[in-house]
Amino acid sequence: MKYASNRNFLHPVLGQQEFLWPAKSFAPTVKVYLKQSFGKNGGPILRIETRFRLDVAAIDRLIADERAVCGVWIYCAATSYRQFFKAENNGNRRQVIADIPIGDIRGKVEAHPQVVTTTEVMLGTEEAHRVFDQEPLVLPPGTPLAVQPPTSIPLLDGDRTIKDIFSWMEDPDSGTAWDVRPDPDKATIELAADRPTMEFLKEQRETDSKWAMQTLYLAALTEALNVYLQQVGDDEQTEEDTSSSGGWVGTIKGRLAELGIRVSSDDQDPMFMAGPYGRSSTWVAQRLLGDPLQAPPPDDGEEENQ
Amino acid sequence: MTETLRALTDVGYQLLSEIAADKPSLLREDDSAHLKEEMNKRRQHLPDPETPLFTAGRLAQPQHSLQALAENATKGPGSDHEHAAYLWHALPTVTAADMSDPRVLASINCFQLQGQYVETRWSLSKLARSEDPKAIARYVSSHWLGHDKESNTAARLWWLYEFSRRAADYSEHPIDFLLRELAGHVNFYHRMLAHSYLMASDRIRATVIDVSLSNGLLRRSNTVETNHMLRALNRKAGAISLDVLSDDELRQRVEGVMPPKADASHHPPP
Repeated sequence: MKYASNRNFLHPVLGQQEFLWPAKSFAPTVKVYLKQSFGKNGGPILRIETRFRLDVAAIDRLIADERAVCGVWIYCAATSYRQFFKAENNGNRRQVIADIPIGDIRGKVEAHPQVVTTTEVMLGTEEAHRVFDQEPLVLPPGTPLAVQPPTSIPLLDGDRTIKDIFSWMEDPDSGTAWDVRPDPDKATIELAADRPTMEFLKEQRETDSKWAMQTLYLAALTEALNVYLQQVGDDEQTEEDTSSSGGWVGTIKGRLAELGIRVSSDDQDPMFMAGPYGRSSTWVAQRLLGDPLQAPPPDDGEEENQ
Repeated sequence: MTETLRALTDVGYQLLSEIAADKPSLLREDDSAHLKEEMNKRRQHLPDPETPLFTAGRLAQPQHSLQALAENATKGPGSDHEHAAYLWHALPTVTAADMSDPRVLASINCFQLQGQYVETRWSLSKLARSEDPKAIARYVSSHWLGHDKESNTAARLWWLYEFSRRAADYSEHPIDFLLRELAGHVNFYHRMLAHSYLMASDRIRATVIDVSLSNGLLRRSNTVETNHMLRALNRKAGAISLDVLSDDELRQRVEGVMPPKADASHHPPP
């Protein structure tokens, strides 16, 4: 059984001469399984294997020129594990094989496939998406060009109750080894909310610029969420600001409640909480986009103001 | 011979939680014999009175007795850096997953460190001095049973050393220095813990510590300033992937969110 998350998620700025945006995609496939490792540390490892399908020539060139990097970073809140794994070329495709000792993770593990600039990149107006055709764009190092919402992998209690969610099989080829794969009846690999996003994107196909705006919207929403957190931290402001800011605070608040995301009660430094763990504003924004806000991006050319 | 460390089972942890709620004084005693007795008594009322309270396998054999910590317990965080190193080295085989598991942490707090250490260490707390039964139960739950890296006694000590050890691979400072600085400036350290998403990266954490030492922010131990800095960095991290930046670029980003230096005398010693 393959636990995979396939979806189209366009990069924000790179354009194509042919302008075939709906056909272009960044579609990582994430597979997760547990296996025994050998060597000096030995023991069970969680292998997160990510393969990237990327058919945007401009991004390919940036990666080949080492001006961008394709990879996946993996995060576990409970054990403070956060590592970036760079993709290697394997034939005509890129892939990451991340082997993580079970002792390094507990509870939910997030995998974030992405393509990110590593140097400052200037895009001419002919390279950028046409919504950015007024002047060349300068992207600082670290700008995401293509991202996938996190794939969340619940791994309960490390190796003690792993048997509860994985089925164990002997590996006849290696004799002493064993290979463990998720049991489809027991495992609950959580994927990003793909369906609502795809439905949302389908509705937006008529206007190409809106495809690109999806990712810009993510950045804007992340920023808005950070402002929202700050307001919550400043106590008394929240309710009043709901009305004075045109209702966006109220909208976010309502949508967070629907998604089961709350704000921690730490009045000095509130943060988004989903389950027992704190979540980044980017993580929350992606979920909000996965099930978009009530108000879609505007139809006219004023998107930059969102 | 040190006492073998075994994790509590789910049932064992549940019983301990119930005792913490209605007889918290048992967890605060110097000797855990009465606590074990109470757990065994309550087990008799379960559908299966033979249900194990501890896992069968050994989690770890402490290299040196944790009882020594109890004998040297002090109020407040003043000795945390020494005790953190002692605890970490006593349990060299436990993993980050183990030390995030409340069943392991409760076992260490209740049956290795026992009540004496935890009670003495946190006795400055307002909750510790409270007469309110709910406040007392909350105090016990927080320092004996939870998994919070800030307030669970075993978790706090182990993670202080672990964070310092991992950061030392990327820092310009050695592990002992980092440990002493983090343990000694709780308002900085606790704010860092609140940004677990950012601080999970050893390289980002090391850079934040190094720049904060250089700036003087860390030693000011100012909650508001530290919060402001970390929030600003978090906002940057929302739009920029800090993980792929070079060391110099990452440092520049962190320096960009630092408050103005207050006083040159806050520079760390070489």
